[in-house]
Amino acid sequence: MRIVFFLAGLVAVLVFAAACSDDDGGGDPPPAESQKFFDCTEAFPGSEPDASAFPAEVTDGSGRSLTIEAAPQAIASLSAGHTEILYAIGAADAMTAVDNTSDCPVAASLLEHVDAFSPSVESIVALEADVVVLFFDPGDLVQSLAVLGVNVLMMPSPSTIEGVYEQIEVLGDATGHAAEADTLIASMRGAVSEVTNGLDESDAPTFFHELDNTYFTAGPGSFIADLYDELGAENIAESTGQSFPQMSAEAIIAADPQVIILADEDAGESADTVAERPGWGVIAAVQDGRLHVVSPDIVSRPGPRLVEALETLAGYLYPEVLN
Amino acid sequence: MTRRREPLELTTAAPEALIAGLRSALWPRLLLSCLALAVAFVLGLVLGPTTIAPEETVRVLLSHLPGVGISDDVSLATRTIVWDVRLPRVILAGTVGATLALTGAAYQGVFRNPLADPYLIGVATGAALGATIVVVSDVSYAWGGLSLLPLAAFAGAITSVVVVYGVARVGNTVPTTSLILAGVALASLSTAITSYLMLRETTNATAILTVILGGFNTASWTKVFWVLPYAVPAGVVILAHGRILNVLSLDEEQARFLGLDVERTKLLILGVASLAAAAAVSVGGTIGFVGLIVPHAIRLVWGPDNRYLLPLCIVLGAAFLIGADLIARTADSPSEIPVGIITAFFGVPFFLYLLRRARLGAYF
Repeated sequence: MRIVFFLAGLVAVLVFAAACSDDDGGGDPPPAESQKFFDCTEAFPGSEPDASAFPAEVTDGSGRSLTIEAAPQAIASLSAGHTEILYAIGAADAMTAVDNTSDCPVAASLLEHVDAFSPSVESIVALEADVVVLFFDPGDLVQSLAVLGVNVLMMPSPSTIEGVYEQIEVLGDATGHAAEADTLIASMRGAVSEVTNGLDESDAPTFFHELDNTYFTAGPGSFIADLYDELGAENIAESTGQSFPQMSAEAIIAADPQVIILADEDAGESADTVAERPGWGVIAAVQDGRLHVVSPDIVSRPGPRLVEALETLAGYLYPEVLN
Repeated sequence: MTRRREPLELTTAAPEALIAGLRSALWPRLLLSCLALAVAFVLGLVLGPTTIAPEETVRVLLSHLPGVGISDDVSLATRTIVWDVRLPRVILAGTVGATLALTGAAYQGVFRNPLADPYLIGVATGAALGATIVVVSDVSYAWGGLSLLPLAAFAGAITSVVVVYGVARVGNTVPTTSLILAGVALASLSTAITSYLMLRETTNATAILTVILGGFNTASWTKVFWVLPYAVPAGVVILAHGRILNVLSLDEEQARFLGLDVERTKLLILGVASLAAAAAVSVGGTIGFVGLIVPHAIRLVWGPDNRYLLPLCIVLGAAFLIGADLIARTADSPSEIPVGIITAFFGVPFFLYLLRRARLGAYF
């Protein structure tokens, strides 16, 4: 049973990692067929980094300061969300390797792959990367690489939308694309307020966001919950006070959420399977048919696609506004 | 005389008078245990993350008797929570607890090893591996209202037991030492594969963790009816072998002299026990310590005679797990705590207290 404790330690990381499944599709068809804010299938041509910004003093997401001497020529991103950000700020030309969950944009999935959960120091060093971006340190990887002179940006998954903007700024400074980073943040802010402006939060629905079929959900302090907060919706897991609580079936039925969002289609869950669960038939969301499947990649990957996540969720939470 | 047998004689050579005393004392003990089970059962139904008045609970339960209606002032949600959520959950936890405690006691008797538990020959690690394989492969659902996960856990557990048994088998006999060693070795292999798959798999990893830590949050009547066909025969067979387990736990040689077909009996008991443990694990996860602590606690308090130990294991195993599950769903409500953590957290200190108090050199 020793494995239990080891595995328990991994759970927080793995919950985040649920964002990084290798299936990009999934989900109901998006409610609006407008142009996506960040479309994985598009090409993201790189731009010339600003050489005058170097040497650059950067403080990474974990608070470590480091000096990057020259504009990076080879970036390895071991985090799907940060890979998307790097392409969005024009760092495409320097991208040399990504982890095996970085499947967006398409160009990233064609690069060399490294395992983010048990990466070998040797294989990372062999990439000869100037900058390595990590979101998770599986045991002293940052130190091991720093000792070898590799610039490591440790960027723990942000738990808020604001946190994503801050990390975009850090990545912009570190790669010589600060101006593009500012432009990206500004256009994301604009797109977000375009989504939220039209909403009448006085009829904000209550919701349950299902991460898996044992009723783990996103609670206060998680990035997913922050997306819903931005939309004014009311999380039935708010009272748990935990980022990723497992809610009692009974508590979910009693809370009677008006909308249920399923991020566990991979495990075979759908509106039909939820309706068949014992006791779930009385829940308002089930009776009103307000169960929606979303792709975990979109709703829990902190990066430019949070705009698409907000658009999608807004469509499910406030259908009357958007139609 | 071998040295190993000496401590055993303390109990097996008990004077007739003492045995008669034990027998007459079974009923009060059983009654007391049943009372504990009844209290756990009632608390399990009345308490939960949502507050439901006890009289409402009773009315919902009564309304399911033929000819009894229910007035409209009990809300649909209340009726659903009591009948579709709490009742199956309490019954499932009780069934799994009884099964784990009883099969634990049976394994300890057959293996003559106080450390034996229902997971000794690979049931738990096999179940975890089976569940993990389903989670990492993209196959989905469902068979007769039961998801693929418990079915795969069951298949994994049975496969593991069959492999262990096949490896340990020598001609017509299965030496218990080989069985234990093969079980431990295969468990290490399964655990290694499970850990690796879990590291590779990044989606739905919590589903794997739920199987490993155990819990009854997704309990349903379907799961109750799935586990009963394994739990009930195991209960009947093992209870009927109380006296024979007493003989077996002496020494296989001696049991043979007494005219017992040792191999057949071992195969029968281990077979039904493993099937029942596998079914229990498939619906409750690999809940630790119940199969170990409940039988030993009863031995420490009331002695080792299997004829009394086994029925008490059923009743108190059920009461213990219903109580642990009650804590699991109310202590941090509306969040769940994995029940395996509760059984260890509350069960182990109590067990250590009993062990300290008893100070027996040999009680087994």
